This record gives sequence, structure tokens and C-alpha cells, in this order.
Amino acid sequence: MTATDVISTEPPHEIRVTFSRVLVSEWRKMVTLRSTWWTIGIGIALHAGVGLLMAVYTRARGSSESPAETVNWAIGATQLTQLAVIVLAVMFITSEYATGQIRISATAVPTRLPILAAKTLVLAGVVLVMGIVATVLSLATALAVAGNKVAFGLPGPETARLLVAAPLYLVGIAVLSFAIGALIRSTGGTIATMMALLLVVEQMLFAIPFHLTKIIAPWLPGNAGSLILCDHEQLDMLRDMVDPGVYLGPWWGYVVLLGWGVLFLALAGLRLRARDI
Amino acid sequence: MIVAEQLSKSYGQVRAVDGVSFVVEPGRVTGFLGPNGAGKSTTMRMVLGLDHPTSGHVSVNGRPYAQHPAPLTQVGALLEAKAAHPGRTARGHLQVVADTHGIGKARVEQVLAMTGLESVAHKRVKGFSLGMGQRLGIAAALLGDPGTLILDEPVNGLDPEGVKWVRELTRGLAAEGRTVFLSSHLMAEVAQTADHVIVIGRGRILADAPIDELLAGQGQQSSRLRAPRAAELATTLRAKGFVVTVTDDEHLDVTASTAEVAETALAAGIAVHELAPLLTSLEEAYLALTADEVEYRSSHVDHTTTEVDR
Repeated sequence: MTATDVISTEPPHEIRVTFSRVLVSEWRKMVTLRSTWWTIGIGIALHAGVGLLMAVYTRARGSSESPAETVNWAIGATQLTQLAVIVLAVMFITSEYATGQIRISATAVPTRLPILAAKTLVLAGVVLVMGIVATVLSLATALAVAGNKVAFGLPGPETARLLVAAPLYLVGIAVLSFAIGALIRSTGGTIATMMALLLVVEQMLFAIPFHLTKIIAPWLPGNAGSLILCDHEQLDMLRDMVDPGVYLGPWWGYVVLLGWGVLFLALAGLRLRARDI
Repeated sequence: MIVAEQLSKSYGQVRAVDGVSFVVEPGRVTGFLGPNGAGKSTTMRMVLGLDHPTSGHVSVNGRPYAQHPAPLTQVGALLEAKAAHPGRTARGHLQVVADTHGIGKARVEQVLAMTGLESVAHKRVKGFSLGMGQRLGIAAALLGDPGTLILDEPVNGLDPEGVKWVRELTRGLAAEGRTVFLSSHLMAEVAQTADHVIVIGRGRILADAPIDELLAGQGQQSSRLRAPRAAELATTLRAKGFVVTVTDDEHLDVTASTAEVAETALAAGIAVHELAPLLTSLEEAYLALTADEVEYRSSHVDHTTTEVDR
């Protein structure tokens, strides 16, 4: 067979499943739902709203105490914003099971794993952009309100890290929530699990005065991932709370959060392949 | 063409589908008939690779469904009404499915027109009636212009006009040479649409035959005749081993084909004025087949007034 034979047997618009087409399909699934835009809108409003409040407070007080405080406006609300991101991420997969859509999806793409991979990429992209918009909007409104009464930024790499921290953290949380949703398959169950994990369990472990919990707690996804949101003063405080041997630092902490996401994605992939739909 | 070989599916101790083998041929409508819980939907889901068989094997056009590079062009499936995200519009739902195969907008509009959904294409599925949901499911099944259609209870929830539409659509698709495999628990529906019937009860195949054969009573043929010398003819027929029921002075029912009756009467020199095959209704045949295989039933089953599974 010659090269021209190969070309002639594959017309340019051959109808078949390709990964890029599954990506397009998942992208359209994301953007054609009103709930997507509501959730993203609420998340951005929360993020920018809290940034604005912090700026109003600073203005009323006269000036910011440190330049780091200004940068913190960009990330101040992330623990709240993540609630919207968790809902968005979990619904993206569990609604397929709740509505029966998954049977249509798996009939169109019977190898199944491309669905999971495409959903993960679309979700990560959407949440990254959402995080960037939320950050920029927070800073812009906050700076507009606080005017020239603030010093902006810190010398050194910490400013750069804090500026990208919120979008990156939210992407990590989104992937983990999505992966756990793909495993549990229930909307309520997954959202409850994520909230309990991030807001209750991980925090409580620090309060339990056993040495073992002090070793485990820093490795949990929320504790590890949120290090990236902390400035050096907060990091110093956290370092004192944990066993000196397990202090991860902001970047390794973020890698641990991503690692949890990848681990649960792999488990979800195994389950998706093996189980009935 | 769908080929199932010794297909089984167990859920714990329950064998939902138990060693089922059948072939669904192209160019005709094959009905898949059985009471609720008989294993119809599970079998269909296994054909589509949604459920993994506990044992056995099923292929579509020569290979497992999941191994086709463009599965929607091989098989279109309607598994349940409204298996679509309620927040998406009808057009959006179809486009999302079409995207996976690179099927264009023009085809989406085409199937919307074919299923009569153009006027509601921009509306969200949330507000759809069961009948509109069925039409949307059928539209999705037709997207890839597939050679095989698998329709699970396609007339459920449809108004009479919708039922007629599904009948005409399925017959038309089969006439184009496609394979149509449709399930129902309603005998009358299958009798109107199917050329061939596979009857399933408690996970086992009870019959796999052309609909005419099933109607004729599983090989046991009967005739009804009118003859002035009926009593004389009855004696002759009984002598040949047929069971004869004398209905009145001139009418007999005989467990023999019309040919056998005619030959016997000729040999005996008895005139027959009327002779017709006595057809069992599909309903009777179905009830006879599934009588022992219904999973749930009320304690007083009156076949004349009660439908088996509803």
C-alpha cells in the first residue's frame, strides 16, 4: 500500500471518535448548562467581594500594615471560593449518573476512559480561567478602592506565588473533587465528603494532641494544598504546628494536593472501566 | 446483525440473564418480548457494552460494540426515556452526542426534523413530556445513521399518534435493510411491528421464531371447518389421531393443518364448505410461554382480564 492509498481511505471528515472530539463534547457539556455559569459567577463574586471588603477595611484604617496584605486581597476568599468550585466539579460528573446521561455518553464513547480524561482537562481549564478572573477582579477592585494608600507587592518570588496561588489551588481542589465524584457517583455524597474533609476532618486533626496526627495531617489534601495560599508569616506559624520532619512548604504542598487528585482519578478510571454503567 | 452466544449476567445470587443465545438479523424488525424483569434491558445493555456479561459473548457486526471506532454509526440505541441532562436543550443534547464522532450540525437538524422536535429544539429537556423524551432518545439513536437500532420499550409513554409514528419508523428502517431490535412487554405492540420474535422469561429464551409461526401456535396447527356431514367427518379425523372439538351440528375445530383436513375429507368423500386455519393470538402464545416464567404475579391470575406484568 502506498502513501496515497492511506490518504484516500481516510477522508478529512471521517466520522469516528477521537480524543479531541470527546474534548469538544465535554466542553459543550460544560458551557451549555446554566448551572455552570451560575456556579462560576457566584464563585467569582465571592472571591472579588471578600477582596473588596478587605480593601474597604484597609482604606478605613488608613493604610496597609504590610505590602503582603495587599497581595492577600488576591487570595483572601479562596477557602470560600472553593465551595463553588467543589459544586461545579462534582456536578460535572455526578449529574451524568443522576440524569442517565452517562449511558448516552458511554454508548458514544464505549472505551470510557477518554470521557474521564476529557472531563478532567475541560474542568481544569475552566477553573484555571475562573481563578485568574477572580484574582484579577479582586485585585483590580481592591486597588481601585484602596487607592494610593497601599504598598503593593513584596520583593522576591513570594508576590508572584501569591498572585497565582488561588487559581492553582482551585484547580487542585477541582480535580480532587471531580475524581472523588467519579468514584462515589452521588452528588450529595461527594459534596458532603469534600466539605467534611476540607472544613472539618483536616482541621480537627491538628487539634488532636497525638504525635501521629501531627505527622499525618500535613499530608492531607486540603492542608497540603492550602500552603500555597499562605504568606511567609502564616507559613512560619504553620511550620511550628507540625512535626518539623513533615513540613512541606508551599510548592511541595501543592504537589501533594495534585497527587491526591491523580490518585483518585486513577481509582475512578479503574472503576469506570471495570464496573457496569 | 447482533450475535449473542451463551450470554449470562448475575447480580449476586440472581441470574438476570441465563445463557442466552440469539441472532438479530438485518432487514427485519425483531421483537424482544418478555415480562418486566425478564432480562430484556440487561441483555440490551450488554450488547452495548454498558454492562459486562458474567459469561458469554455478544458482538455487533462482527465485533464487540466497544471495539468499533465509530460506534454510533454501527448501533443507535434508545435505552430509557429522558436519559438526557434536563438542563440542556434538545439541540444541545444532540450536539453533545454528535460532537464525540465529529457529526455536524446539519445532521443534528436532520434528526430533529425526522423526530418532529424542531419546534421544541431550543427548549430545555427539563420540561419535556415522556413522549418528547422518547422522541429525543430516538433522535440521538439516529444521529450516526446506524445500520442497527436497539430500542428498549420505544412506545412507552407515547400517545397513539406517537405509537403509530414509532411503528412506521421502525418498519421503514428495517425496509432499508437495517437491523431493528426492539423490546416490549406488550404483546400487541410486538405483533403489530415485528417480523420475528424472541421471547424471554426469567433470563432464558423461551421462543425464537417468525411471528407467523408463533401465532400459529408453536408448530401445533389447528383448523376450523364447516361441513354438512360434520359428525361423520369428526369420526374419520379422530381415527387419524387428531383431536376434534364439535362446536355445533356443522362446525368442528381440529388440531390439524388445513391441508391435513382437506386431504382427509377428500379421501373420505365428505364435502367441506368452509375451512380456515385457527390462529392463536400472540397474546395467548405469549401467556402460554411465559406462564411459568413470570417473576412476580398476583395470587389470582385471571388471564382474560389481567395483563401478566402490569
